Amino acid sequence: MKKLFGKNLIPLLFPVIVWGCTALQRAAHGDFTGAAVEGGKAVVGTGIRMIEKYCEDTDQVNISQEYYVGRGSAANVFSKYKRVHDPALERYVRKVGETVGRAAKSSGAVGLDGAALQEPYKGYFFAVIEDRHVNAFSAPGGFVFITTAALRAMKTEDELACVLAHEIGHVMDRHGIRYVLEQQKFSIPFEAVGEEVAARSPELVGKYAKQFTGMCGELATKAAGGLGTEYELKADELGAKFAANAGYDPQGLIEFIKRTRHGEDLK
Amino acid sequence: MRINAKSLAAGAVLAATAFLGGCASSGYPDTEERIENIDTTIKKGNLQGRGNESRDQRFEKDVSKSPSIPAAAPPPK
Repeated sequence: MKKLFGKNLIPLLFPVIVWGCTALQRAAHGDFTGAAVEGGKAVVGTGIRMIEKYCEDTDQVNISQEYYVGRGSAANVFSKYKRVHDPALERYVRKVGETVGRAAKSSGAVGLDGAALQEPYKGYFFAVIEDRHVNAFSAPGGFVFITTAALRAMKTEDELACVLAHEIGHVMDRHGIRYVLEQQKFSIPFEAVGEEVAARSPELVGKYAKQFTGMCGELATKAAGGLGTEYELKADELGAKFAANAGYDPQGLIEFIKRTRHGEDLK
Repeated sequence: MRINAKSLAAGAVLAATAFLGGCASSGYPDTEERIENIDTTIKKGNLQGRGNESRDQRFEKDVSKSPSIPAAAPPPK
């Protein structure tokens, strides 16, 4: 039943995925009403275009589709967390993150089940978010978030590099999309993203936009709380390798985990 | 209303189940397991940092095109 539900529902959701693109930009600027309208414009195509081929494993999800799912989830993150608009801080985080991301490519590491690691469709997007909990998480397609509390808890750049490397491990081994496919919450069809929408149906807009939002919200929440033992351990392994390949001390990951193990809220 | 040993035991079981369920719902493995896993990875691959060298080799990607940094506003005329 669950599988059947997912199979039938999600093809209808696919045009909504396109929505994430514009919606993220709008949501990042606090324009959530506009984001919903953009979502609606995309959703209206659902009633006219049934796509018949769906994905059941990550090999069938292309990086462009994965990216749009990630954007939808990232929009959800920005609806919950306040982004820290500090260009110098963001530039620093991105510089370290990009360094690790580049090193990841040449690390020789492989993903779960020997899968080849995959670079994100449009590179990485690093954002610092305001939160009193020590945390960092990522969404499919290269979106990486780190909280202000996590940054305050760090003692060295090695620790920052390791934490970002852990998230890059999730991204490159596609843990977010793996999780989504496992849950049978939706399937991603092969059809091109961003097709012309020909018909309009306000009823469908509300109905599927809400479901899409729910799905992205669940993914974002899951990512923030940990994707699961298998994925987290793999991301730790990849993170240590990526960080070391970039020249950072992988012990930084252990040091950071030890220091924040009790999950204290660091002011 | 009398509370007997059976209902107390049942309550305790329920409470324990709820507690354990809550713990299990975390998406992170046990901290010790994580540390051991990372430590094993480091030892197995003989992984280590290279000090300041890494800082000197930072990758400055085309910053202006990054979505995380908005384009600079044009200078006022």
